[in-house]
Amino acid sequence: MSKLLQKITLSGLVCLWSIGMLAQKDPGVRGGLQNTGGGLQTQGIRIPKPPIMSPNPNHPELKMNDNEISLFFEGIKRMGQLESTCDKCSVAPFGVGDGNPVDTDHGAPANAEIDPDFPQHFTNSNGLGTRHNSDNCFECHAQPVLGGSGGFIAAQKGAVAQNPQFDLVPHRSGRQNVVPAFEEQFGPIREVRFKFNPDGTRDGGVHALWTTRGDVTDPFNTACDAVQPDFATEFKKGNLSFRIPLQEFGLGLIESIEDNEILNHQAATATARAALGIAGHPNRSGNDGTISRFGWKAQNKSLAIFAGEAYNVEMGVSNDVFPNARDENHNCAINKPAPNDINRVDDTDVDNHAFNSPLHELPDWQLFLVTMRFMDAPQPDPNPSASATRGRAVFEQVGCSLCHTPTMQTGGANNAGGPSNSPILVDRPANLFSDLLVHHMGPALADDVIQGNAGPDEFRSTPLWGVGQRMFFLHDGRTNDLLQAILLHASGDGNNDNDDAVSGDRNTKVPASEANGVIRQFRKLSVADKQAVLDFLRSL
Amino acid sequence: MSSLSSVPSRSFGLSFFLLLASVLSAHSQPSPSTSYFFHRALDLSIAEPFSLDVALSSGDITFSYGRENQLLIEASAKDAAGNRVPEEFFRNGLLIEQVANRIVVRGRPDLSTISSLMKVQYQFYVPFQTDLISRVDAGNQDLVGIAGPAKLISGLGDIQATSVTRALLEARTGQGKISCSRVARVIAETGAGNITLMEDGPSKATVKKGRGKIEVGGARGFFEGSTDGGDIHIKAVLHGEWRLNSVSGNIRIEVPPKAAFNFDAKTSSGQVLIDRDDMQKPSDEERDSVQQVNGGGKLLQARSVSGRISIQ
Repeated sequence: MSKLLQKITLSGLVCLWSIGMLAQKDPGVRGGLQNTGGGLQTQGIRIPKPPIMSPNPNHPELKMNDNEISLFFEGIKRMGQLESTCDKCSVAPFGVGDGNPVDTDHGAPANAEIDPDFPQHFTNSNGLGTRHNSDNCFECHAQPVLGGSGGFIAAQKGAVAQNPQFDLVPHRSGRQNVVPAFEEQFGPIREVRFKFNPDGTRDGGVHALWTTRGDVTDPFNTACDAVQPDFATEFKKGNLSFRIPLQEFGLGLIESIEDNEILNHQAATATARAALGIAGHPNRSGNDGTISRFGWKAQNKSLAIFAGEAYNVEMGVSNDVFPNARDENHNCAINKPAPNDINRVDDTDVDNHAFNSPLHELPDWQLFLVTMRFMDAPQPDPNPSASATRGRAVFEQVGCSLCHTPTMQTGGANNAGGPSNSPILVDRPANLFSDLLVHHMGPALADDVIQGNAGPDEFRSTPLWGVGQRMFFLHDGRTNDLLQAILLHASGDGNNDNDDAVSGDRNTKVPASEANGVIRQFRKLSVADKQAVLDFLRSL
Repeated sequence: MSSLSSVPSRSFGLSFFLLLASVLSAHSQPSPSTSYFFHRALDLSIAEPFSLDVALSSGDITFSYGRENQLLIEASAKDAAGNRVPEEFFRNGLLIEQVANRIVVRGRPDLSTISSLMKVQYQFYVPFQTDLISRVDAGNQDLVGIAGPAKLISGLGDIQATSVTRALLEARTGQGKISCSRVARVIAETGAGNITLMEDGPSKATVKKGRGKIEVGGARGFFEGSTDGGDIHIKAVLHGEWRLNSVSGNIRIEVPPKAAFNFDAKTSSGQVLIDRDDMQKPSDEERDSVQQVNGGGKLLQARSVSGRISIQ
């Protein structure tokens, strides 16, 4: 009897093992974590710069001009600046500033920066805000290369690449921040929104993680007494909503898509969408009524707004479009007038860091905008596997492509309309895999934040280009498993495990996810077909 | 690891001239599938610097940043009548050899004869960390957005470089203009032509003969300039020592008010003119002036045989 039991147990284990072996599996970050982002820094290899806009496939004679390319690079330098609380207390690292040697072959010491364009020492700064989420653009945009989505960072060669919000940013320069539990060492970079105010009215705004309290680099900062929000209590109340950084690649192309192109795609697929329970609508600018398209809820109208907002919200650097400091605590703002980052046209050049260049009159946030505009779209795997190639057909067959629209065209064909930013953006395909519309995503994904026309459960169909090298998925980075990310698209119809995942005591009742029909079809696929979809997505 | 991306054909000469004949005669009515843009992408490692060595007989060449893990080469050409030339011209005429992260590009000998009859344009999209050497007998060269170092040599043609941000750029042309802006370090030399340097790091500029001028704005470090009959004009903050030399050209210097420096100007038969309140003015007969300005500082030395030296 016991032998029979042993045999049954063994058979069961073999069976389970076989199922495990046969089950579909996310192949992981294409190229491997060690060969992207912070994994490279650990080896002493700088994280590559973002690719510049590739030649226009429809108009190869249209090229970026030298000024555009110079601005692109200047923007990378500005993005790479490690912000400190004042301009004058900054210390330029080797490779940045006049005459400094840039590498050990040219006279720099052995401990010189891995990458002067992404330094760990301070450079010229416009003033890190009293409240901020980070002190450098690339801390949150370095996966798989600079300008990418959120990943890991290694501060020096040999260091373990990890979430920069776990230790690096909150404690740099002696800053005395308590790291909330949701910022894990090997978890996603998260920013926090509060769903509601204490009086029960809606909040929805970003509450910065860190303060400059304790920063020892600025002699005028010693009186700073800013206190972090009580994240632990709000977390227990279910009042926090997280978001992770999106990549910046291809945004100039998305900006160059005309509203009509978006609406035409919506209309062309309306019947097929309806059959699967998919609707979707544009989020629109409250003033001019045109379609907004940037951010997790398509809440940002333009790259300019997006850039200005990022500087102020993420780094506390007030600027032309967001001119007010987010915290006007004067104990933390001595010798620090706001806005911090504006056009610099002063005659004496005092606030222009002695650059003596019209180029430098552009503020950092504007150059960030220009660099984003000219970052190329993510490059898919040039040699996709047979499974990945087949996966694209399956992706379309089950209906994923109804919302994750593979291609849209930028405007400007036949010299009519289109973007005026640069000829290189005109009349070319954008393989973004998004319809740029917002959709009800069900109670499991609802974040209870309303932005413009996007309701508490609505999100933009995230562009999937570059998803092959992303580390974390969904707006709050709750999973690093692409299969889970797909399955989490479904909730609210009573047939999903995800329906049990809704947390918090004040979440608004929301309708079922528009993706339920598609996910039902996905679940019916064979293991091989599911695997093909995963392989296809990781090829993007 | 070695691979030859374009293998020479033994019957190349005959076929190439047959191709040229077809190019010059029949391509005005091409098939719909004909491409006029040569396009070749080569994968590179991001772990090592990339080295590119180009030598071509003629054509305008642009090097600009593309992406870190790839070299993309594009080329197009028009014949003397302005008709576009099919890409076979380049597929057969360019030798591209890659050994790991080093790529060598050469034009076949026959290409020089033929391309001199055409207007040829090459575009190289390179990684940021590119160590570049490029020579062209006749043609302009434009470089933008790399770390460097880079060496651009033209027999006849202009050279322009922008945002070479980390290492030395060496630009030499037998005849033509040289323009550099936002380059970390520059050595610029032209047989005849103007040189313009804007916001560059330590630089040396030489116009060997003729009336070619040197114009410098926003110098970020040491500067040395020499002309024959052309003028030198420099307007900048004195971040480093300046040494300015001309034979018959005038030298005009503009530095900010209250700047501190050591002034040392001498001309054999010209004039020294000072238009600043913080400097002692020489008499009309004096042909030199040596003085500490505002307590002294970096050396500003100007020498001319017969040209005028002025500072304001």
